[in-house]
Amino acid sequence: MTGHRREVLMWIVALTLSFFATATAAPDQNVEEPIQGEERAVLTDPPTVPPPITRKHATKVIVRLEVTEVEKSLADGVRYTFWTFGGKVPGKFIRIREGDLVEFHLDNHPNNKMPHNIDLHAVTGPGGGAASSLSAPGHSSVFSFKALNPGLYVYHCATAPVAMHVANGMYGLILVEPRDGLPKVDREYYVMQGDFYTKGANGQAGLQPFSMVKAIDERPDYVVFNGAVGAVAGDNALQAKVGETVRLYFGVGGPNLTSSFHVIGEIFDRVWAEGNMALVTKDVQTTLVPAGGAAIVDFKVEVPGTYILVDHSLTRAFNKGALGMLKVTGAENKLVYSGKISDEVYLPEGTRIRMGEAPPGIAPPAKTKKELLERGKGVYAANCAACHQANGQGIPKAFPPLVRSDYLNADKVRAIRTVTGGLQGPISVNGEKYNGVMPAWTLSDEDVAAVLSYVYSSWGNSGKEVSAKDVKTHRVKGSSAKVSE
Amino acid sequence: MTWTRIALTLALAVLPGSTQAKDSSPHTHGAAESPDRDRPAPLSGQSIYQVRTAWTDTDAKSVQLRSLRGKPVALAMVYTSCTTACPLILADLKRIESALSPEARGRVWFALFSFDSERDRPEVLKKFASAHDLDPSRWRLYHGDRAAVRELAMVLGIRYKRDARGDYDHSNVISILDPDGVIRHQQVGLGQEPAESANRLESLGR
Amino acid sequence: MRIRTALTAAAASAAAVVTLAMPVPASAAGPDMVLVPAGQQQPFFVTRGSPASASSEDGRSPSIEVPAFLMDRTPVTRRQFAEFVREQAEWRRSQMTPVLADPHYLEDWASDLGAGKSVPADAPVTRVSWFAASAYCQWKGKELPTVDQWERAAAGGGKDAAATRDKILRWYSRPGTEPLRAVGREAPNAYGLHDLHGLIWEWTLDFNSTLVSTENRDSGAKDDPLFCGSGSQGAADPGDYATFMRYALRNSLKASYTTGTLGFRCAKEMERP
Repeated sequence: MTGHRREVLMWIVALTLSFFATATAAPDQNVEEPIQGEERAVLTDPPTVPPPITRKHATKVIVRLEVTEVEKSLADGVRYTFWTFGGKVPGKFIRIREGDLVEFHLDNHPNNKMPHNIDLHAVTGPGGGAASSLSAPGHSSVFSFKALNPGLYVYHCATAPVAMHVANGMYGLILVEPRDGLPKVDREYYVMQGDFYTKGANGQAGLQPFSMVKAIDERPDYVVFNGAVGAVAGDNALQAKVGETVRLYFGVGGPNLTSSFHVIGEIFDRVWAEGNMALVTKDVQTTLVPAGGAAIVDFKVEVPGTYILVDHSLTRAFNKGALGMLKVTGAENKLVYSGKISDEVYLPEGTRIRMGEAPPGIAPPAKTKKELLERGKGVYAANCAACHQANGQGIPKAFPPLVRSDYLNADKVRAIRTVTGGLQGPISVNGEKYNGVMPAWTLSDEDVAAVLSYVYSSWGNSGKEVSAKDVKTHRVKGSSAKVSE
Repeated sequence: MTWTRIALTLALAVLPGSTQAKDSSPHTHGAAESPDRDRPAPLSGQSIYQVRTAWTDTDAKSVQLRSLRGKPVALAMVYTSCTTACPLILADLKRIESALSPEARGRVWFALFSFDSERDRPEVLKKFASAHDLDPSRWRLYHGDRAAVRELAMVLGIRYKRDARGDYDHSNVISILDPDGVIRHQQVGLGQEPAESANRLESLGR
Repeated sequence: MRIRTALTAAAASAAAVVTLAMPVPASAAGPDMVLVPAGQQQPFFVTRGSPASASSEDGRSPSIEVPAFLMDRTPVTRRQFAEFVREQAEWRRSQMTPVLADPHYLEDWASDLGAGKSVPADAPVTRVSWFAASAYCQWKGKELPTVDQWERAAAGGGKDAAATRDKILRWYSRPGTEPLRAVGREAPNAYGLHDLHGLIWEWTLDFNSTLVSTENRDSGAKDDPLFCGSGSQGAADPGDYATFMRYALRNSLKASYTTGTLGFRCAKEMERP
């Protein structure tokens, strides 16, 4: 091989090797990555998150998390003493970049009774930091770590007994953005699920202590998003506009339950399952998030409405509080989702004839017109109103209106034949096309006369009167006048 | 009252086999009260020498912790029958010793305090020192009663537990004190690089 | 009750005889102390490699023998601690140094000498360091109880274990700023001791002996089994969250620390070591 070709070959080999090296050696690279500058981390309360990282280099980030033990509402009338990172459950959202050096301060407020520490799943090191952060009330611990792996990670208190600390709300999320950041979206939110164990049953009012027995048995009384029933619902619902892309940073603090996370009415366009940044799955309905785990889900909202976030283990959602809301406002898009098109009477195959119901009260024959119309009103209410509606308006595109109906007023005989023999096929009423099925009604001549007279005298119609004799003469051949009493 | 106590404490401490005598007022701190004879300035509030427990050196002489005052100190708590951690602590201390410049070496104390009140009597410690070639001009080994051991461990933040066999489980810490007895650095864990502790000792000695 | 009083008196005289050799003012164990009889105590954590960790016949870790000892019936009160600092000037707040107590030492007292009226005088004294607590006990011719003694006393002979755990967990659920009540108001446990649970945390003589590394080759801090799942390894009863928490608290303390919910009481051994 000539010297020149050898050189070229060596370059090719070197470049190929370095490509693979960078592609696969990310944690090692992050150990080496130089730190430029220093900044104080922006920490946010749920459900908001700090803004995306824009810098292109690793930096030293100073994070101060304060632990406070606070009594707050867990559900309507139910109070609980939460142990929190930063005053709320879940704790503050921390957002850094891979390769960053974090100087972590864990402050245990002097008013607290318990010792606390922290284990961040983003930390590579003993206890995830727990070995270096145990702090008595009124004291603080400092340690530092390098973020070697990108991803969305849970952090939680790890003081024994761990399950109790976590059960009292000591968890949160730390996002280690990949080098080049995440795809841009319009809205980002932070939601975390937790299970709570109280001495009293679900709903029992007052300050509820923690129940160790139920916790060990994994029988929670409450399973909630963001620390309380309704914390992400109603007035606290998440917001978005039609056409926006929404991202949820969703974690499960536990201590025990895994979540089958689903947003009713939406499909996750992209899921980074288990918070990892390497693999995206698409078109996911429900994603499994383990206790002590997280997932990032993206979806575009196309249609306005209220979308319900749930743990699809349904009794948790509907009986224990694992229910949140995303309210989307904006223009409708009937193609994507039409809403209810019609409310139809369902006629099983073979049933074209309906037994009419005689109205109570006035027995035929009616002696005066007034009586006739009253009887007609009764027959209408019992038989016709279901489709043509009580106000005669009908249902657009389904049941024609009887209000100022050109079709009705044009031909009295046709009307008699319609009621007694039924009608199907395309017709036009007041300029609108209809193509439904109207059954033949088994009603007495008097009742048909009464109802038609009533209809004709109502809603701006022609006012014609129809007599029983008319009906007898013109009713469809073979139609029955038998009436059910 | 205070002087009587001190006098009685010293008297008791010197009596043979009197290790069970509880120290009269081991916590008496004289930071604002009585200046030390050796240095005119009173002790800093951060100095561990405020704790006045009595110890016995390898010559069976009773001394106070503050007798180390005046030079930087590399200090560790060990016990001689320990076969696991303590030889390694000693090795770490020796590494620090070697890392020092010759002049600095002459200006610091290396102090070992034994957890083991029952077995590590002064004569045992003396044999231990010569067995391990510890230069007597700078190495000091001390025996104390249970109360003294407890006090010192408390002030250094060292955790330990005596088990049923008389062995000690303990945390492994080398503390670097300044000439006034203030803890300036702690080397936690075994097998650490000596550079940081050595540098501290060097600069504290100047 | 009479036997107990007689024993207490006997112990008191024995203690008095012994303490005459000591230059501290000997205060005999009076009616303010209670005898906790000798007995077995299941240690909560067992160190690997120690004889105590070897399984006994029934597969459980053997318990240890705790000799009989005397213990203060109640935690030390603010009134009692005020007497102490009146006599021992170096333990007054203004004389305190960082090595012996952190800056919150007696922070809620009205003055150097008096606790003030904001909290009942018979409420337990808190915001005291181990050094201060230890000095008080020595001043009284006593000593802080060891962890084994304290846990034995607190177990109350095993009576009402479930109710006690509930009481403790309820206390954990209440805020740390809850006002302290006077000692001795609630029913005592089976040994006649008050307020071991549900009022304050208490210093012990060897609080720094808990959770030391079972592996001597490494630093005690790094292998500390109090974290995550490893916290329940080696625990006699991993379901006993109440006790777990107590050990965690001990593990987080240094001798100079003070907190608003941490106080102490004293004990006295029946025979000299």
